Amino acid sequence: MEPRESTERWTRLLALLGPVHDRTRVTARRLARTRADGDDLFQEAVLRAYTKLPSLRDESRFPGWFYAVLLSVHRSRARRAAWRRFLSLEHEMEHGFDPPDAAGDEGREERWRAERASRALASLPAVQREAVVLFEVEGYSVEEIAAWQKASVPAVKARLQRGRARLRHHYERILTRSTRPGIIRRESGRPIEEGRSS
Amino acid sequence: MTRRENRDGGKGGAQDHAARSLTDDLDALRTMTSRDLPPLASMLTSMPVTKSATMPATNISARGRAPTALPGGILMNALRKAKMRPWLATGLGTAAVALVLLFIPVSYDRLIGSELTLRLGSAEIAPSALREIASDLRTKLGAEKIRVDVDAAPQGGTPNCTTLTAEIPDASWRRVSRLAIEYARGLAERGIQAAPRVRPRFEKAHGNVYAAIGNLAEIRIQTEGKSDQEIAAEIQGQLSAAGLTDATVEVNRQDGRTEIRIEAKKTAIGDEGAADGPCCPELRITLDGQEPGSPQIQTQKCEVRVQRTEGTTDQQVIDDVKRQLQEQGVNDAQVSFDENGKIQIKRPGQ
Repeated sequence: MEPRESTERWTRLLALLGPVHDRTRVTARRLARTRADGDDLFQEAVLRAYTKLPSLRDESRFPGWFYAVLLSVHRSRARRAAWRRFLSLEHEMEHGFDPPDAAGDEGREERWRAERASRALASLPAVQREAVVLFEVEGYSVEEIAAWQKASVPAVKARLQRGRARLRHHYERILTRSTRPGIIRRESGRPIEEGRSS
Repeated sequence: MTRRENRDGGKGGAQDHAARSLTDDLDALRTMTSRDLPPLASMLTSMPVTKSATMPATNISARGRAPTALPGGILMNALRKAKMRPWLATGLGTAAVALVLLFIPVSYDRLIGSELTLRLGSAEIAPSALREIASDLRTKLGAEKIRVDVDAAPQGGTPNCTTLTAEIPDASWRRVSRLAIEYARGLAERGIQAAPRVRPRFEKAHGNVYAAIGNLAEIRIQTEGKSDQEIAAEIQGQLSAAGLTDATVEVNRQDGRTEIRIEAKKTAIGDEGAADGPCCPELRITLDGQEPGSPQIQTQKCEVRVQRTEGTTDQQVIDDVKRQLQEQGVNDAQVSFDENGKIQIKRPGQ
């Protein structure tokens, strides 16, 4: 490809990406385990979009097209992550969403809750995680999700149902464990003040 | 309220609590992930493709790289591709290591046989009896290099103890121990108290890792200036060092062609032979510097397992051996039992 053509393609992508940048980046963060991972996912999706841009005929359909690219990259990364979890120390080194003390006690509670939600979402298979995030958190319709996931509407509904059930089960399990006498709430990781048991 | 209602109520309460917590947590996730979003432009400056895409054309052509290619040379691109396919990368890595191990020589201790120490009682042993014992050790245990040590007698009296030390090529510590104990019992019946002790004998060897593990026996033969018998003896020595002590070797040289026939047998008692693994190490024969696999060297290996239980007839054993040979591509073998009850396998022309 000629350099000029490359620059033109890049300019075109920037122009198309501008209006959807914030919401797609937020979706990427919600799909990923940490904010850093989410930003990585978004960057990789942008790179893939750059490569595949010539296949986009109708520019008015860019938002949906980019969401499909993002979900595809997310699934590729999920497959890689299954392998990487045996090697990487990043799980131990992650810092969550915000640096400590960025938003005071109230912010700390919110951060802790967000991290817990992320951990719970990470326990779902990639397609179920996508369905739950896009429907429950982002508020997209089942039809839109089906189009982006390249799946049928009943399939997306089934993914949603299974994803919700798994999340509920996950929460029941961690809440039961954390309220059992004599057990310190290690899983939730919530800071416990001295003298308080729950 | 009944007990059942109580239990149901508790479960329902836990479910409600879980559902509430989940909703709250997802709300928190929604809020937290929306904060501190960097502008699109700041992200793009850190992306490698942006740099190459906006790079002046002269620079790009000077590097001879397509503008869409990611930065880095062949090695970096290969690494990137390998990261995309971790299983393939692992497989290739393992294959590379295995290949390297084939060529890296390592130094290791190789088991070459056993050492039997037979400590005879304090009574004075007649030289003729000692000669007889040494002869027995040679014939019954295949002992070589027998040494006799007599403890110095205190104040010129009778010696305290006589010790026979023999090197035995059989590397099976268990088999040698069993034979030695049986022999010591026989000596006790003749009035000679004997305490046998068997230790493995090692020698320093150099070879690749597979040889060190023990599944590979490396036989290196130089035929120049040697008779057929000398070559056979040399092979036999190397086979015994590899643990094949009762192998028979025949060497025939005709019309510039050297034919080496190695027959190794391993006897198992009880359940010892039940395992499915190979009974003998893999032989890797290098003849006059010609490595295995070269067109000058043709090898054929047949492995036959004979399991004889009570009630098995000779004919059944012969049929079983023929079947196993046919499965390995040998259809013209003649199988029979000789007068000593040993199985003979012959091919026409041999």
